[in-house]
Amino acid sequence: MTDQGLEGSNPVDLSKHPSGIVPTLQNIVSTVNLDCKLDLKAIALQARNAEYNPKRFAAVIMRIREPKTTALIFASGKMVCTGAKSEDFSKMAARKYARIVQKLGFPAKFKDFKIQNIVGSCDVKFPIRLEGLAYSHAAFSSYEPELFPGLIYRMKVPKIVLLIFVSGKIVITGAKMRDETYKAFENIYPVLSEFRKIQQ
Amino acid sequence: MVWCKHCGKNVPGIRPYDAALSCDLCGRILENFNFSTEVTFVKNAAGQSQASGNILKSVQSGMSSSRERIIRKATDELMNLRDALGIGDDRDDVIVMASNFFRIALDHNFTKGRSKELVFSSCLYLTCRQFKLAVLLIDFSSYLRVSVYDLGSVYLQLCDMLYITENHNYEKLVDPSIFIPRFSNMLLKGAHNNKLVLTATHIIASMKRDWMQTGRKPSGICGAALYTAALSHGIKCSKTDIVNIVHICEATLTKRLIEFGDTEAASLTADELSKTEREKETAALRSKRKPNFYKEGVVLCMHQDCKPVDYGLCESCYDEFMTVSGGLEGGSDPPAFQRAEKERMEEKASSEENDKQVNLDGHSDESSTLSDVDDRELDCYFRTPEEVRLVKIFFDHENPGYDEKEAAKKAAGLNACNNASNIFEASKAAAAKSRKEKRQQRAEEEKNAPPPATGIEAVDSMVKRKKFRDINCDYLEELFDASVEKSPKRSKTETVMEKKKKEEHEIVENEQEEEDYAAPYEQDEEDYAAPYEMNTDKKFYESEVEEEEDGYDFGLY
Repeated sequence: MTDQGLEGSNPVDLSKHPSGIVPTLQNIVSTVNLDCKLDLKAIALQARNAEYNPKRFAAVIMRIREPKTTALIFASGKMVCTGAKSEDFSKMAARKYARIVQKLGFPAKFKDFKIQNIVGSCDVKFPIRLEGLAYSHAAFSSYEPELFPGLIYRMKVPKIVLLIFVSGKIVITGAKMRDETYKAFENIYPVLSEFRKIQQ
Repeated sequence: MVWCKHCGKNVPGIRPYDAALSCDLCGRILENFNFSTEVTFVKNAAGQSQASGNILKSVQSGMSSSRERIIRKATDELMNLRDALGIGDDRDDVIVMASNFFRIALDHNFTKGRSKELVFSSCLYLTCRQFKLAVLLIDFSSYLRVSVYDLGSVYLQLCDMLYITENHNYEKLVDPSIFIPRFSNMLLKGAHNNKLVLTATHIIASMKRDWMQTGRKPSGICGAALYTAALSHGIKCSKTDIVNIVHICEATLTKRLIEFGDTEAASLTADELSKTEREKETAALRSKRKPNFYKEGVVLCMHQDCKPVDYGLCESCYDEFMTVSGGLEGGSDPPAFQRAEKERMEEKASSEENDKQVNLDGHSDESSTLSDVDDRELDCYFRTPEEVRLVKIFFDHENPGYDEKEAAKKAAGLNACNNASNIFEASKAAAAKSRKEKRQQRAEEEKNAPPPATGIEAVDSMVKRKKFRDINCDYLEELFDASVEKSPKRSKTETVMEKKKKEEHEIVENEQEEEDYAAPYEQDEEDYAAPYEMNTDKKFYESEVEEEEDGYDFGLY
């Protein structure tokens, strides 16, 4: 929501976004190495925001409110942080989790922070005939209405997967950098315009 | 017997000294050669003997027998699937194409790691798509009793594999109208109503033009069209009947009907709809439109040698596109788009009221020791000592044995070494070694120990070997005393065995022995039943299995 508000107020950089539409980042998955062995039971007992069920999953699930994220903390010291809306928020949240673990008495560090996946979404605001896309880009498209209502487009350069729906909403996933998401959308936008609904 | 010209009859031929074939009566030479048909062996350059000659391969021997058996079995399974789904007993062309798909999949090891039934179904479903047969993926999943998404996953992987190997896209789009004859046939229970089929087809055509079909399951579209057409022709049917035929939920059918009700075509009668559809179909054939973005002469579809007609498609692809979908011109907005528009309007109205925005400052300062993180903000995440004690009680109750397991893991880690791979290899080797040692010791003990002369010795060795803890020693001592008291009875039995050596008497004596064994146990409690049961073969087998399981459990650590 914050990014959408910012998007409305600031003018779009047409040199970077010729379509005039900027995809909104919805979810970022990142990993970090705390570089020490962790006692998951001790963490689960002392942290109020942690839950640990060793029968179900071999990691502590921890959540913080700002930025609103969820982390998986493993005994090996590896941590996965999901739910952030931007790269900076993801790093900020990961540092907070590391600080919480540090205050619980473990010599936690903050090494090898890396963004693993970025999910973006946007709305082109016109209906798209998915059958035409499936015919003209058969090599990259997979459209099976019996299985999934959208068209799965596997772009090669950059290596991104896009989910394209008839309502004009696009989901862009698989990026490791923000620019890849923008580049993928700018590549697909002319194709979507080709098969947009023509008003009489 | 060979024919002799001189004698004029069949005569026995002889080969004196392995020479020419001669007549036994008149001596006439009948054959002046002697060729051998046996396999002969010659020495090669290395001094080894080998059969002389060459092996000629036949045309049919390019495949191993096991591969032929797999393909034959696959063909049988595909025929069973075809018959079960009612595709048609005379459709051998479907079987041939499906078998070819399966052969390609087999050559690329596609069957490894996947259920064979799923691969068969995927090949057959792909063939049905090529032939435009009215079979849904859910029909296969319903017959095989698997999830339609599991089958769909294998199907998509098969298409991807075929695209990589054959460089040909076998995925064809589904036109929902091909299912109407089949579903109407099921609805009318075998009767054929051409008007119903035609009206339903026209309804689907209008749904395509109104963008109701894109992104929707073909079964849902067919259900709504068939229901509307049936009601308009006075055929009595309920939503439940339609739901059972097309395999969708009743809520889905209701949604499709409501969406169709919002379009202009819903206000027409069946005759008006047919007339309108024919007019629009005629008009569509006349108009053509040039592409906006793509250059002239560039074909985007797979047929590079054809000329583009529109949208970068060749003529056949363009016709298929216009048939499967309703084109890009005219019609209502798709329902999902209408909902999105409504949401945008609501958001616009609400956003005008709230213009407040919060700008968060980014943390540019970073340190490796995490000292920049505000500690006060994180204090609410920590528990008080009292809370920790209460949560610990709950945790220990929910996870009994957790501490012992963790301690065992640590001990195993310390004993081996810190390296994870070495830990794994060491634990595996230790498990194998300990298993071998146990097996060897057990074998040696069994060999060295003499066979037990009496039941007392057998029970005693059994107890020692198994190391039971639950056995009551007092009862065991009583058992020993009782057995000692009855020893004269046993000696009598042995004497009788020595006197009579016939099989019939042996059977009787065995029964008596069993009675002797059973007598003390019946007098005592259930604890004594366990030692007696251990003497049976079944128990021996079970104990061996248990020991193997123990070894396997040890290996997991």
